[in-house]
Amino acid sequence: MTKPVVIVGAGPAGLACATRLARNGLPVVIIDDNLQAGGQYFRQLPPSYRAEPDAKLLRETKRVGTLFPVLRDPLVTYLPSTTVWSVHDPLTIDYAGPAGAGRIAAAAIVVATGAQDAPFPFPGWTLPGVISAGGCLNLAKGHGLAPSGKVVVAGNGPLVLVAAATLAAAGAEVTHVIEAQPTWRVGVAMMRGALLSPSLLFKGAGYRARLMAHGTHFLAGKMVSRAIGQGSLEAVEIASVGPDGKPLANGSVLLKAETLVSGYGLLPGTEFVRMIGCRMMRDPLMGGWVPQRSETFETSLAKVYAIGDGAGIGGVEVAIAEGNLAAGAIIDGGASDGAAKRRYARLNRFRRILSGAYLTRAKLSSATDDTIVCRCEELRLSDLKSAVVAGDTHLHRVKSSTRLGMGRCQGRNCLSSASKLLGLDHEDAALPLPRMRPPVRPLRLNDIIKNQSIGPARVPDEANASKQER
Amino acid sequence: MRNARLIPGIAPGTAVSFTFNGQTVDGYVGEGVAAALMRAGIRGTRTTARQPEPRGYYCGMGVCWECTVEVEGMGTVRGCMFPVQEGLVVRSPSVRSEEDL
Amino acid sequence: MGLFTALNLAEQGRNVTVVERGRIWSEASAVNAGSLAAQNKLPPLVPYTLAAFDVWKSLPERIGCDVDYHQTGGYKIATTPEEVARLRAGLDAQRAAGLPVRFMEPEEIRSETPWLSDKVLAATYCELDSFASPIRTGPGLHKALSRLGVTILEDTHIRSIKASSGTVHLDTNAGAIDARQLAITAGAWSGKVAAMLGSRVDMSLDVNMVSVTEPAPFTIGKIVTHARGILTLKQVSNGSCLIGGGWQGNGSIDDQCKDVDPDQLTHNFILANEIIPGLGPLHILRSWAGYEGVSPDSLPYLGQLPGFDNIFMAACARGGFTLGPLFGQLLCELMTTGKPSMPLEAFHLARFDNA
Repeated sequence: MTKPVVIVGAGPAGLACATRLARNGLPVVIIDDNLQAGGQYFRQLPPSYRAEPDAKLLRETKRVGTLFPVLRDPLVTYLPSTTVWSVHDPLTIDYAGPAGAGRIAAAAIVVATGAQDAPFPFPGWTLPGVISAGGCLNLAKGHGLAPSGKVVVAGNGPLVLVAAATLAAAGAEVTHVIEAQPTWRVGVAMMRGALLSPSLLFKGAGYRARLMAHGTHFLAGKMVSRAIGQGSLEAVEIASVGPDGKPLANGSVLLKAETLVSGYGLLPGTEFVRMIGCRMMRDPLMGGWVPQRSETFETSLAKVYAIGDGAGIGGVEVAIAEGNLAAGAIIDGGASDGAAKRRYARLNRFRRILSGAYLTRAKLSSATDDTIVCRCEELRLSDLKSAVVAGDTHLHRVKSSTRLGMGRCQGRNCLSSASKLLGLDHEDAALPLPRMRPPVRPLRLNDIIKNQSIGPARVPDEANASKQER
Repeated sequence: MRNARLIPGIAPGTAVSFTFNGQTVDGYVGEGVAAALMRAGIRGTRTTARQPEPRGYYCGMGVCWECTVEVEGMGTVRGCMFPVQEGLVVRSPSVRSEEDL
Repeated sequence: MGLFTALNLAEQGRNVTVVERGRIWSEASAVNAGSLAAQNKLPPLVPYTLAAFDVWKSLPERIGCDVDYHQTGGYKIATTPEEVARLRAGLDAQRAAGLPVRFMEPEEIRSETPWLSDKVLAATYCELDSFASPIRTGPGLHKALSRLGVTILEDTHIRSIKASSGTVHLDTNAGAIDARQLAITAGAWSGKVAAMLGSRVDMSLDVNMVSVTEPAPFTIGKIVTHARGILTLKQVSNGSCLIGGGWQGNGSIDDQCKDVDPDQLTHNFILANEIIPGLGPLHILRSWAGYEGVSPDSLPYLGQLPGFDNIFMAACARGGFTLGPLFGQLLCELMTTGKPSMPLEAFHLARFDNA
């Protein structure tokens, strides 16, 4: 029996890759943490929900018809709500989830783990009512919900407009959209990209027009300096972005809001590639630390590919193109992909221009010493600062002396912001982030032990009867 | 007061009811626990162990675990990823205190 | 081990330099599960363990840092008739060594520890079993050493060592270091350091795995160990449970790679769940592996390196986290006065030479 290609993540990149592999007769296993396929971009309503044709839900449906059928392909095994928690020997994976656990020897592994909102701590960001941009979009696309009451959308990057437009379309009361980058800077940079992807620029302009019609105020060059409320969000303080990337104390304004959507960029979900030991590199235009990849998206580990936003922020078009090309690389080394590669090169140039357009001159930060940085372990910036030994460039020690990143989020919501705020995010840092330990997501012990394919026990007692202390 | 409402044109599935910290909450088959709680106007769904301070729905994609709740017979789940069912008994996760030791 | 030795020497007013290949407090003592179990020690080590508890108790005041030390007491459990027999057989030796141990029948276990499964047929209880937090101890020690003026050289590799009576010369990537005495406290690497001096100190390598769960309501107030030494379990102060037991991961000290072995980790979980079913619904947050050097008889090396009057070693303590604070003190006594306050003959480095 042919070994399957294991694809980790059922977002656009993973589905596009699976579609082409299955069409070429290769068996595929798609493993995804979510209840339903689609990733964040194609997040689906619960199966029992129905959207009327005139539903006020801004989402793309046209490519669902081309990407999703692969899940029912007889060559494809799709395991939702499941996590790959170990890779060994060297392409065998162990997976577990509520539906079961098992082991698969793979022909190749395609990591398509997607992105998350970059954590951006400011005073009050832990208040209920402060939600991430991705969280806002998922509320709409995944649950058919829009926040009630006044909404402020603030952040840096294209997702700010997308989130605001989605909310406005859904009838939410979006009073303000706050973008940290001055409009003229975005405009000048985007001129360079205009010819590469005119459709995306029209989309952006369309979002702006929709918001203006909605009566939303658009403020550029401003940022959230704090969120205020008793028990939940009541108001948001907005300030101008200072030359150091921090909010200017003078001239801040207070906006009443029940919901603040905070979208300060996206972060590639690199936990999986870091767990299995792929070599990493730093690229600010790709979203920070990303796996090193060959032209065919192979990582430093042979036959382990990384594609889509998890390998570098690029959006849905890049993700689908990379999925398609990675499949080509697995099928025939990409021999038949000349045109697709040229198209991808154009997309790749455009994504870097788009990223660059929003890259602020100084790193943005609204965190004060008193701000919670590690939400799980309730650690404030001052707690972390006091743990940094002078001259120490390693986040590992901060982690082990403060418990930074040791909670349920496993560092996803704190390590990147902590390393920036502590000045440990150097270009030359050999090990940017502490090693990711298995399991790559929290897994129930009960689910892990369901695996019937594990090898025999080497009981430590029988290995050496005199060994008592552990 | 509701914290979130259905977008016009979205028809949810069958209505169900479950309890959160003893309070009856209406939901729809397939709806995430966190979404149902937001519709019910419940914003802070847990309290942190040390400070203590309220937390609720944040990332909406299973990354942050801020919306963690405890489901009877099951243990902790991510509220944004766990669909409600009729009769589900949901609680804020129990917090420990160091004095317990 | 090295940091505790440095602490004692510095407190005696000695001029101390710690040479560390990587980062201090990053190997065995830093990544172990934090058990300070008296019941798990081989009988010859029991008196040392009891003495170590006293050092642990005074440590927070001494280094000015809470190390989360709790003398909770602990159960050592048995699930088969053979294991029960093993527990019973060990009782006399443990008591003779000064350990207060009580045998528990099934009825007592059911009423006192309802969270243990019916598979537990018997247990012994020792009120002295304890745990402490490696995460808190290391940084606390580091700060105390800085206050005492100890020089800590990290990322410093020793290339060669030359020793003569009264002087030791280390050649490192960060320059030369001259000293009067050298203490080899390099854990699993200690044998390699001794080899630089032409000495052979046999040790094998264990790669022990530990896992931690999400925080849970407090249930398990005491530490749990196993008659066969194949499970350790405790609930620490944030409510997380630490699961260990010496199940082996993969790794070698040559390539500095260590990793969990998914098969053995899963077996570790199966066993833990059989004994404490309440662990099953908890999410595992992290599993990791740590090196441990082991001598042929599983007893420590603690003493002078044969043939050198100014070179010493403390390694392979098989429970170095428990014994480290005491062994640091004993090694310091040996190095400064030549008269350790407890006998060290059983730990002599040359004890296998005639074998």
